[in-house]
Formats: sequence, structure tokens, C-alpha cells
Amino acid sequence: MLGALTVMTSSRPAHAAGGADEGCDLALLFEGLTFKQHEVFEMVSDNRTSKEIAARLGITESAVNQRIESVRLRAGSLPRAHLARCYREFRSTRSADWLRGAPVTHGAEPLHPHGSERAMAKSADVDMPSATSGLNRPLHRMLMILMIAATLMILAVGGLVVAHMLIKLQ
Amino acid sequence: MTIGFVFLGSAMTVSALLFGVALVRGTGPERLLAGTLFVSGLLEAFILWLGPSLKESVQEGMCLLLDLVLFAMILAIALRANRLYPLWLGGLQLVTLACHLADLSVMSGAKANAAMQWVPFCAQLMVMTWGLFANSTSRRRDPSWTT
Repeated sequence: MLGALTVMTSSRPAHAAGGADEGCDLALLFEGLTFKQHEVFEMVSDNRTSKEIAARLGITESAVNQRIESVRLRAGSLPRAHLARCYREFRSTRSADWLRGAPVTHGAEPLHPHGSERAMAKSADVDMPSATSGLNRPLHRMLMILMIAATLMILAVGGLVVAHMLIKLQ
Repeated sequence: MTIGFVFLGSAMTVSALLFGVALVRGTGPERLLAGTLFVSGLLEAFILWLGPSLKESVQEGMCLLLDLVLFAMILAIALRANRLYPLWLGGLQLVTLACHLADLSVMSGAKANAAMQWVPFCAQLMVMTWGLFANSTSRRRDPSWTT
């Protein structure tokens, strides 16, 4: 991950926020994205709003914004529209390469359409756990509340029993 | 009795401080939860203060009703807000409700009642503090973080 960023910064200078007319030199960044970030950026590159993306993926709008923002920060706070254009170019480049049967490789491993496994493992995705997002979100959250309560009650009862036994011993 | 009032006063002071911080630095869920905890703590303290003039069963019934309403509010926020700490608040509130219904065979009497009412409340205050801090950190790190 750090290596990818180093290569990226050493080639062309980072774009300023207003440099939307310059070329897109973010291929290495996009190759290091997680599967969830690719999911979101595919729709961002189709000019969908965060609300639409959230509805399609079954997650909250804030989760979508969080995934976009984490990539924006790594790209040097580029505007969303610029990132969308760059991702569109990146996606079309990948498609063309795959059609030719010559996947682009960096290092020893061929790239998966949604980023290499090593890149996915390295990049930190700070989303909420999947059990708290999606269409069954309320049910999952209710189950988590019940599990927390059950664990706490077991600990409390266990503690009371131990305390009672200790008092009896005295 | 004096220790109990000191403990109660400290818990309510912390609750009021958290509510104030949530109003200033927090967003919707933080303000709602901190406000709910503060108001419920005040009402429970009021019920305890009325204690001698109320029947024990009436007092317990009022506390149970208050805790049920508090659980409903926490649950409504926990199911909708994109945060983890309301789940812990809900779990602790369920523990409080279970203590209302359970017969504590190890301890009994006023001390046990006080413990089952106020220990989870104190734990909820700690969770609320953590939640406020985490939310503030998230919003500072990621400006697009919304409710």
C-alpha cells in the first residue's frame, strides 16, 4: 500500500483540488482499493448519487460517503467528479486489457478485477461491520443487542455467584 | 444513605455534562441518547426521592415503566443510527429490565435494588462517553461522516 502510494507520488505531482483537466494518474490507487470501495466507485463513475448507491447496495448513505471520502483523501482530496472520471478511464483500461487477454500486472501477481488479494488485505476498510448493514440491518442490530445483554447478564450472574461463594467462605 | 446520595449526585452530574457535550459537539443520535439518559436519570432520582410517600410496589412499577420507555427509545435510535455504541446502550438497558423481573437470590433488599438500577446506568454513561468521543473523532477524521 505504501509502495503503491510512493510510486504514485514519484511519477507525476499530486493534483490540486481544482486540477480537473489534468490526466488521471490514479491507477495504482484504484488497484489498491477494497472490493467494497470498487463496488461504490463503479457507481460513482456512472454518476450516481450517494443515495442511489446506498439504495442499490443496501447500505446507508453515510457508509457510501465514508468509502468515497477515504479514497478521496488518499488521492489528495480530489473532487468527486474528477475521481469519477479517473475511475471510468481506469475501468475502461482494465476492460480493454482483459479483452486483449493480457491482464496488467504490477509485481508478480496478476490483478483481480476488484484488486489483488494482497491489496485487499493491506488496505484498511473502515466500514461498519457487514452485520450492521444491508437489508436485514434492523434484525441484525436487534440480535447484537440481545447478544450483548445475554453476555453481560451471564457475566453479572457469574460475578454474583462467585461473590456469594467468597462471602460464605469467610 | 449519604453514600447513596453522593453516588446518585455524581452519576447525575456526569449525565448532565454528557448531555451538554452532546448538545455542543454531538450530532442527532448523540443528543437524543444523552438527553434520554439524562432525563431518565432525573426521573428515577425523583421517584427515589418520593420513596417514603409511595408504596414499594408503586415505586417499582414506575421505575419499570420508565425503564421500558427508555429501552424503547434506545432501541429506536440503535436500529436506525449508523453507530455501534447504541447497541451497547440497548444491551445494558435490557439487563436493567431483566433485573426488574428477576428475583435476586444472592442479594436482596434496598442494596440489591439500588445496584440493579444504578450499575447499568453508570455503565451506560461510560458507553455514552465512549460514543461521544468516537463520533467526534470520526467526524474530525472524515468530514463526510453523517448520521
